[in-house]
Amino acid sequence: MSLHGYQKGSITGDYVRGGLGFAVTAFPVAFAPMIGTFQIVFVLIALVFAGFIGKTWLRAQTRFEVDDAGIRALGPLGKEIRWPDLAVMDLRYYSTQKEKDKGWMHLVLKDRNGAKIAIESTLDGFEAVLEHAASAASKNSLGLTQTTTDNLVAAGINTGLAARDL
Amino acid sequence: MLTYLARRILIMVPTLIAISIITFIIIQLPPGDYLTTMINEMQSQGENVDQSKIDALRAQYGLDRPMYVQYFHWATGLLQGDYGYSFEYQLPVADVVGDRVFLTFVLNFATIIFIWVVAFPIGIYSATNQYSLGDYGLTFLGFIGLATPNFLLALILLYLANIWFGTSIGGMMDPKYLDQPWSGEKVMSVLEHLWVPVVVIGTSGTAAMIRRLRANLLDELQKQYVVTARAKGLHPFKALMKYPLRMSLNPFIADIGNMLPQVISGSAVVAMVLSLPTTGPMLIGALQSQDMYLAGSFLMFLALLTVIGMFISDLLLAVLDPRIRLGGGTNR
Repeated sequence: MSLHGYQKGSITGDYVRGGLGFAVTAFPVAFAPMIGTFQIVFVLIALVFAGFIGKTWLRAQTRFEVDDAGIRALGPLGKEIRWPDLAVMDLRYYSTQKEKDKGWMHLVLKDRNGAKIAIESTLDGFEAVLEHAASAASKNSLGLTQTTTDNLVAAGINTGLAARDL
Repeated sequence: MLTYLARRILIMVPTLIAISIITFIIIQLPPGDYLTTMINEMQSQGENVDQSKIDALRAQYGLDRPMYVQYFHWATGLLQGDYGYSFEYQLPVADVVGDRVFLTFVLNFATIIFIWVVAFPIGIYSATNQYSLGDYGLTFLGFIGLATPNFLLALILLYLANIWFGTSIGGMMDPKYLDQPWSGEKVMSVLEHLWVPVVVIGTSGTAAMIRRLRANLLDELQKQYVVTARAKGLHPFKALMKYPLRMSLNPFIADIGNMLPQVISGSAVVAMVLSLPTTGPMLIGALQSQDMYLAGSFLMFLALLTVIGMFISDLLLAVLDPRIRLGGGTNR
């Protein structure tokens, strides 16, 4: 069994980004006169940053326990997915850079009962979690999207998984 | 996705601030200001210039203040819907631009629809029927479209529209509707005049898009997963639409960033040839006469549209194709 948490550096970075974004958008709405359209846009963007700060807090509070039986998210929104019940595995890659450098992966796992666990690659030991999930997906004969298989290959995971039939 | 959204929006903030500073510096770069240009013109025509009146005007428009004060005044004004004052037209910028933005939007939006509606079926046909007679014929037409100068095609179509359909020369509506409120007849007149600039501007864009769609789709159709899908007996239409076409659309989605500002500023040369009341010629005129607030607001608006367009295209690409590229590293 292994226990994984998000790196402090990434959490701090996201708090700074969220705080900065919220300040830049909420401050003008509160203290500077502007026309209605801009106000609506600024408020919507401020809400996105507020949500991002909330999500960062959740990530900071959550630990993931992984073993051969399954994966458990320990924290405010604790959930558990047993590997034999794994029904969906989706691995996406995001980057804000033009050349798609320095991005991050986003792993989504769902079981047959609808329980969902989402993990980002800034998690300590993300590769180990990914290997467990890919292995379970292979054992359960899950159909994966082309995007997921391509990203698994790029992450160095090779479990003989094939993309879902066209 | 929320993480991506927040990080991507955060990049836009310093980008827009930097663009606004650069825009303001650029419109201030030419020596002198609008009043200097006006004085020179008056003196060249032998008119007397009252220096005290000029000084009063300079103080009134804030042209005697330091550049950073002028910038701050202009930038905060933008947020409040005050786009400044046009020296040339002696009106607020918002009043000067008025209907022109709407007509420009109508023209360029119709052009984009025209390009997509014509280019997509032809591009798909050319790729799926490579080296056929139809492919060669359409490729030939595409090259003609690319090679024909827009202003020449504009003049020819203008002449033919006048001879065949009696459409008045130039403009986006019959001159009798120019200062009238919007009505059914006015809308019909706009539609009657719209097709000429749409075809002229759209022809080169259509040709370019056909070539790109054909090339992208041919690349995708030769990939192993398509061969496998065909070998497994999947219907050719589904084997085309499900993944190859979607993948070959990525460059077009990435192009939305460039397309959005073109909806407002594009086709300036054609607009001049066809005497269209759009924003392109007005922007060029504002830059020539150093009408700084009109030009600055235009450039800032175009920059904003570019940044929003890039944001939309990045968001769509992140949703449609969130794949890592070989060589790109994962952030830990």
